[in-house]
Amino acid sequence: MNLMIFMKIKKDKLLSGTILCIILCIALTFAGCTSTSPAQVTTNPTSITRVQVTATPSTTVVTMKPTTQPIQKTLIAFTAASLTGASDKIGPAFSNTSGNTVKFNLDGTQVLKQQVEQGANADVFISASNTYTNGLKNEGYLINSTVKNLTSNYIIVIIPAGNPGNIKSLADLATPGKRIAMGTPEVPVGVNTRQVINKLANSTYNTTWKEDLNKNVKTFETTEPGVVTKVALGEVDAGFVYESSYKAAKNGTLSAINIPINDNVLQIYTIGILNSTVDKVAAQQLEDFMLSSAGQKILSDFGFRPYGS
Amino acid sequence: MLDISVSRQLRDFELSVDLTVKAGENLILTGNNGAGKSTLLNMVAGLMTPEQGHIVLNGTTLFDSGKRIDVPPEERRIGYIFQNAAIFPHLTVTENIAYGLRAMGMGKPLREKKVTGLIKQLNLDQLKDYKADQLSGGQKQLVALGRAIAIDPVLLLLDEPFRALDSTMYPIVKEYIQDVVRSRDIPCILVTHHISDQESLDRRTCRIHEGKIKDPVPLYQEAVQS
Amino acid sequence: MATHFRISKSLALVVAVTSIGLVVAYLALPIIALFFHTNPEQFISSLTEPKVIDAIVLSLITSTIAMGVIVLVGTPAAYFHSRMDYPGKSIVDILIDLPLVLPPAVAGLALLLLYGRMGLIGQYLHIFGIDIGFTIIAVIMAQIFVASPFYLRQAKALFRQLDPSYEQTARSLGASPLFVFATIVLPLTFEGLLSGLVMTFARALGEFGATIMVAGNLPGVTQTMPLAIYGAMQGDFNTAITISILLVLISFGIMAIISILTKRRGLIA
Repeated sequence: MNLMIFMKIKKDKLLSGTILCIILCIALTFAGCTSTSPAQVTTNPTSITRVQVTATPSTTVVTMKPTTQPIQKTLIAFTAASLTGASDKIGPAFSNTSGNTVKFNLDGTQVLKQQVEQGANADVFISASNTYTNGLKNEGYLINSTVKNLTSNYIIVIIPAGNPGNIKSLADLATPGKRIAMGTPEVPVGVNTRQVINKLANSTYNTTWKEDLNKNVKTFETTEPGVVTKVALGEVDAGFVYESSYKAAKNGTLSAINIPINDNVLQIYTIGILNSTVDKVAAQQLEDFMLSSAGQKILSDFGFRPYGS
Repeated sequence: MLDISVSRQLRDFELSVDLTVKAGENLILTGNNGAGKSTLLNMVAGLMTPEQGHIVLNGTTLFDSGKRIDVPPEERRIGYIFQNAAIFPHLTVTENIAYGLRAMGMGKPLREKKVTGLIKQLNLDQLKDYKADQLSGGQKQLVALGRAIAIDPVLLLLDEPFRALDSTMYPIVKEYIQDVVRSRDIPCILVTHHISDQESLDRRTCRIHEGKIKDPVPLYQEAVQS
Repeated sequence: MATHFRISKSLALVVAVTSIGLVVAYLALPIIALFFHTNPEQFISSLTEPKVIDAIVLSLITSTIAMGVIVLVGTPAAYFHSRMDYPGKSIVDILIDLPLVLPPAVAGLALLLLYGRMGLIGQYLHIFGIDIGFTIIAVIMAQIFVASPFYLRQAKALFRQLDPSYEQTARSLGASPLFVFATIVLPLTFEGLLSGLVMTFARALGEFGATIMVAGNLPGVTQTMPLAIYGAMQGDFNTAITISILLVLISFGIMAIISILTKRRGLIA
């Protein structure tokens, strides 16, 4: 009799012990989520993300440089996707001058902003949209005093090699049957494109032109390089992108139709340090580098305009 | 009258058989596993194609490599019962027996009449709504027989029909087969391992070894009737 | 000795409950989180947005057509593949598995390079005025590519393990191959085929990477539900959550219907 009661108590203890185990596990999982987690980098099939690794910002790597700085920092820069090409050069150049490395998370500015708002940690934010920059400033994610103008870009219409759609002018974009690519309403290049089209409709063409053009849009890409790719592959007859992408393209791969300055929109890019940075000094180094003549030269090589113009 | 003369290269040896079976006759085929018994039956049924030779049944050519004739199995009207009886698991006993009649497009009333008759003949009344997993080995054999008989076959091929039977079912099935073959006057080839079967059936036996007929002379001395 | 036995049995119980509990929690909690971030009013109002309705209709139509094509072509293919021996059979086996391991983006790019306007085949189609890129056809083709292994592998396995003696017996009883297929093969494999079909439909419904590459992203034409979620996430969170919840509900619904259907038929596997 005693043995049976004893066994029953043991069984109950086991049951509650097990439940406690599970609760502990779940609690630990949630605890882990709420604390500062390493920068999440979402893979994005349309953007050319250069960086994957969830590198904890305090990764210490012993540098081989014979400088007084023995510790090399790795910075994470959330960067507007239109800087993809330029980032290839900026990275090494920055390493050479500062001894620190930078990893770029390249995507549409709207995506990056969301990631920051969802808790992603990074050091520097390079934005192609004043609206999004202001949003982040107001929400307290940026160290406002560090937000500076970085560079600028106009909108241009690009055509694939061989001009399969026989687009000779902006008017042709409204011809029925043409295929056009542009950005989504959220991505900065898409916002600018729509502004440009409105301006053109008001000044030169008319509402019918705008409506017909919109009918020809076959895809809304979530990043600027996404639009470039669709054009470069010849899948569409024309696409609205940044000037820089045309200027930096390999000879012969693209041709372009300029948009008159009066109808165009000059998009100012900003750079700023995020509050979540773990090394403000190193982050400032990056910002300073990109604002320096060396950094600005790289940007200009890739077709970007100085922010003063 | 069934007239077989076929050959085909199998994996380990060449199967080469010359055989005749008269109407109403029960030819026993024995031999070790892998000797080619089932292959031979498959060829007669049309499920496998010989490389060379001919198969003629009651004057109709079922297969002729020279004349390039190869009648598909569904047109040969041969009752073929596999070792495992192959009772369709998703159909009842009644539906199993009716299957061939359904396949040839027989109308429901006629079909039902014929099937009911067969079920009675085979004493399967109690089991008529049962499915395969509820039947014993012997019962399955009977159902398979009924199913094959339903299409009024002109030839019967039986592959080890007695293997799964217990002592009570054995005589029943044996007698039924003999009865069918005799009364319908059709030739029959029966493959079996058991010597006792041969003895008790007291029929012409033939042994296959590595694809060739060994023992008693398989060909009839009588003139082949066309 | 007795004590030792008691302890190890209890240990097994603890491990069992903990591990199953963890699995359940890990799978259920994210889905629960979806529901936590919205409320019924927001959900209902999102549902009426044209963008959302477009995405739902498009997704359902394309996935259904994709599934239909896969079944119509895949069933005989799987059947003959499993019953016959032919040169190159093992290569076909690998090919059937390929889309499973291929990243969808790669599949999308490959499809684009083949059927796109400048593609290997696409350039000739273009001459005839046929352009597949950025059309609903492209969406369906992408879905077929990534989802077909789910059905083909299942069908292959089912047919292979179906005892050929049933079909052979049926043939000898006078049934044509088609009659045999309809009355013997299909009924005996139906349940398994159906479950393969469910997975195929679900995979087609959730297809994103290949679609966005080869079909583009155009509301009402090529913006399926996954694409709509992705786009909405960049602007309107509520819409994204609504569509996600819808996809969850649809998935649950499909699985529930299938499980009811198959239970009722009570088929023998």
